[in-house]
Amino acid sequence: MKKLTEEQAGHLMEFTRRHYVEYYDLQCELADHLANGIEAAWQDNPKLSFEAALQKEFKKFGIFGFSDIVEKRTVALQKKYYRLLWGYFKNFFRLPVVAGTVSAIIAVRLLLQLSHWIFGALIFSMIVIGIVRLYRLRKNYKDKLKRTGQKWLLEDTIYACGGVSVLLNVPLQLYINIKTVPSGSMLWLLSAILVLIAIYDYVVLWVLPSRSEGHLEEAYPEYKFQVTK
Amino acid sequence: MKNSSLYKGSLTTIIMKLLEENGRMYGYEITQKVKQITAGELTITEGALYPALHKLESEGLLDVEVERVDNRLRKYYKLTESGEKETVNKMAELEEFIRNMQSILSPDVKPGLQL
Repeated sequence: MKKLTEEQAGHLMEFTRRHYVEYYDLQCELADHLANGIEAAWQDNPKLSFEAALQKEFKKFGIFGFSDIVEKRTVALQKKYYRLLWGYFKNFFRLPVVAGTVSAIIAVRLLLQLSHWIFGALIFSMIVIGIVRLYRLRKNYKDKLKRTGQKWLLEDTIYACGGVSVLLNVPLQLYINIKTVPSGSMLWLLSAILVLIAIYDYVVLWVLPSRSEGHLEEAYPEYKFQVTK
Repeated sequence: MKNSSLYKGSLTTIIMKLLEENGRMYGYEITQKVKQITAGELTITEGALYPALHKLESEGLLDVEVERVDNRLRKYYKLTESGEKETVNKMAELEEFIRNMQSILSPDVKPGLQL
């Protein structure tokens, strides 16, 4: 049976990239699918050229090509990201960690009682720390992409850190809309919101990126082929 | 997929049933198996197959394995434990659906169905 050469297999990976499949796991799966189709076509007609067989096989993906597959894969993995995020977030409300969370809320409440400036300082610190950490993470991620040349959707989502707008906009909007620090139950509520934002920032900026390798290996069995390549 | 409006809702059941019978399979193999079993009457399109596989995988019903075959990586899908249970449920649902359809289309065979 006529088989694909190494060069032709490489060409298929390039073909998927040219058709807007950025992510390595999908590139591998779709390239293998095309390769199987081409080899099956060669069984019927060994004289068929590689390019003609490829075009014939690609037509089977319909007028939208790979785009629908990429789009639905993106949705599926983004759901996975949010499930991971929620899993880590929930840990802060389980024993014994919840004691730390409650202590943090009480501490923030005591601090906020002192001055409105402390409210500003807390918001400002969260924004600055968030920006610095995000910048460093994105830089490291870009360096890694240059080094490996392989992009993984889940990793891309982890290093997007849930989007800048959530990280920066939510605390900023709080600061803009709260002119004076409230008292009583509203102060408890504000303290709890600030702690929740801090936990969210910690999970998306520290916990998930630091455990990304483990999650990638779990989500992509292909990942070990990249690391050990 | 041929007659897509009739078969569309059964795609995941078809995939899971095939995986239950064959252990593990890769995408292209699934399309060919369906074609072979139905003598070409039913064709699963690539555009429908992969999103369905990825959805089942993200729901934890399928597990994946990757192997280097020839000069490329091949991704195999297999049922997880919860996938096996879900296959039983889906098959029961589908069989009930078929029974009901038969009762509607051929009332003589299964009388007694009340609408």
